[in-house]
Amino acid sequence: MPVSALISAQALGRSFGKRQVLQDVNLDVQAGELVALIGPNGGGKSTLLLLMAGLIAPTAGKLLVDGRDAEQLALETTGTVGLITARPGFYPLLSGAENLAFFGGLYGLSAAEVTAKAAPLAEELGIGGSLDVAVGSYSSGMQQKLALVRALLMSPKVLLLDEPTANLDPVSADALYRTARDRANSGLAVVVVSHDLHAVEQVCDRVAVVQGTVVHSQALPGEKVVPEASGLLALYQQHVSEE
Amino acid sequence: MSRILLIARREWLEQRRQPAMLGVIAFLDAVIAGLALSAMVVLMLLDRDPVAAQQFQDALPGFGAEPGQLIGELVSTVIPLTNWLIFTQFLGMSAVLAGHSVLHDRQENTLPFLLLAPLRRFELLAGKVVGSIGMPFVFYVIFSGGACALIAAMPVAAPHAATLPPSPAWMVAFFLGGPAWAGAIGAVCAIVSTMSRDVRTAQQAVWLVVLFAQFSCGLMLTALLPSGVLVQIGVALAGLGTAALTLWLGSQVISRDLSR
Repeated sequence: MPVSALISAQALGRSFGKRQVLQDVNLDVQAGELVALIGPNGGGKSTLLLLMAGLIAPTAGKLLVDGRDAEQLALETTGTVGLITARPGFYPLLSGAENLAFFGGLYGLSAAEVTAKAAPLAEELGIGGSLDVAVGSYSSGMQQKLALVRALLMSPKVLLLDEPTANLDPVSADALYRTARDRANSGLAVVVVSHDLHAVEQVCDRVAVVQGTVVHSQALPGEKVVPEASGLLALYQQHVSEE
Repeated sequence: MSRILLIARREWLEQRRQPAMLGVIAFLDAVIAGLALSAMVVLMLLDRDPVAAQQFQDALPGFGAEPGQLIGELVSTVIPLTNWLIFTQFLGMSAVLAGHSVLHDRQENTLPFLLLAPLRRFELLAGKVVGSIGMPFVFYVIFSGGACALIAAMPVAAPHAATLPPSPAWMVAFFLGGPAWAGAIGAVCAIVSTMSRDVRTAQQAVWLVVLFAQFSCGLMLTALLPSGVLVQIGVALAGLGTAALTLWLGSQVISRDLSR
């Protein structure tokens, strides 16, 4: 029985002025699948991700998320899409908890509901003790973990990650990929833009090469695990204490 | 409505953690209040002492006042000038905060997450405008309102009671007209902030808006004070209507497309 895709790009195109960034992109992402978008800088990976989030509109074709037009979904959504960008996007003078309460509030969650949902996630990611501290004093890794907590706050069906491990140390990057893999295993459609081919190979189910369009897409064989067993990471963790 | 207040409350929370910025706003309001009060106290003391008043008038030959009328003429200048300054500074402070509000989200990269949330463009703009008016309003009430109340208690200001508290016209202008027009100017500046891609452009555009606001809304609020409470209610309603219309137009003009 065919499985309907949670994300479906159909002849998708996007131009900025006269510059055609993406054209004729066809890509489906199923529930439970973790797909990596790789390719050169300026190839259109981040643009494709923003199209999937409904944050920019296509100039050609269409993009369906959970069966609905992505841009329309962004207007109606109650949290179908969770997004993480390379720059996490928080108010630096507010604490982690205040940031989460604000963004959760936009979705109609009360402060108590946000705390109930966020606290276990934050603990799992190792930032539970820092939620009352101003985000401006967080390290890049802590901010990305907080971004992951925010992205998962509304229990999204789709998780989009745009170079989430840029500027992260190996342990933080590992924790982020581990969570992304776990969420895919629990049924989310996860799309990650990354230049970290090693992590992509280990974690992702499929890779799509994007250079103006999806020039190639293929499944990545093998057991999908985060690099927990990697000898180098174990060595790193042994000698470097986590924040 | 709840999302508008949520955005406004977040703005206030962030502003409360910027003591230097709040200090500048308070200082500016305090300087205007202090200058107005000082001028009025001097005029009140001169008014009580005919000899000193005559010496003062003699020291200002050619000022244009008829003998014995200089104090009254100066009071007639200071009170409208004070009202104009308190209105225009409140409008300007709110405008500057609104003119940076959405741009701040673009700079902190929080804008994508606001647009990803089920938040209407009207709610985003209205929340930013309310958030921009709140803190300046607190200082406007404390310093400007306080100074005007003290001036109104001076006998020398008695002929101008209609343009000072607690006259109904002044109360409506101060508590309704000023905030309503601050909302209208703030709405324009919030749209400027949405469309600006850099701080310099936003600042220059806001300065342009503030200049026109001072010579239109500020003058209107001040000049129409003697016209009575009904006119002031009309001015306030016009301000609220302009704010609502501007926010609606802004919500039609600005795009949800992050790239625009």
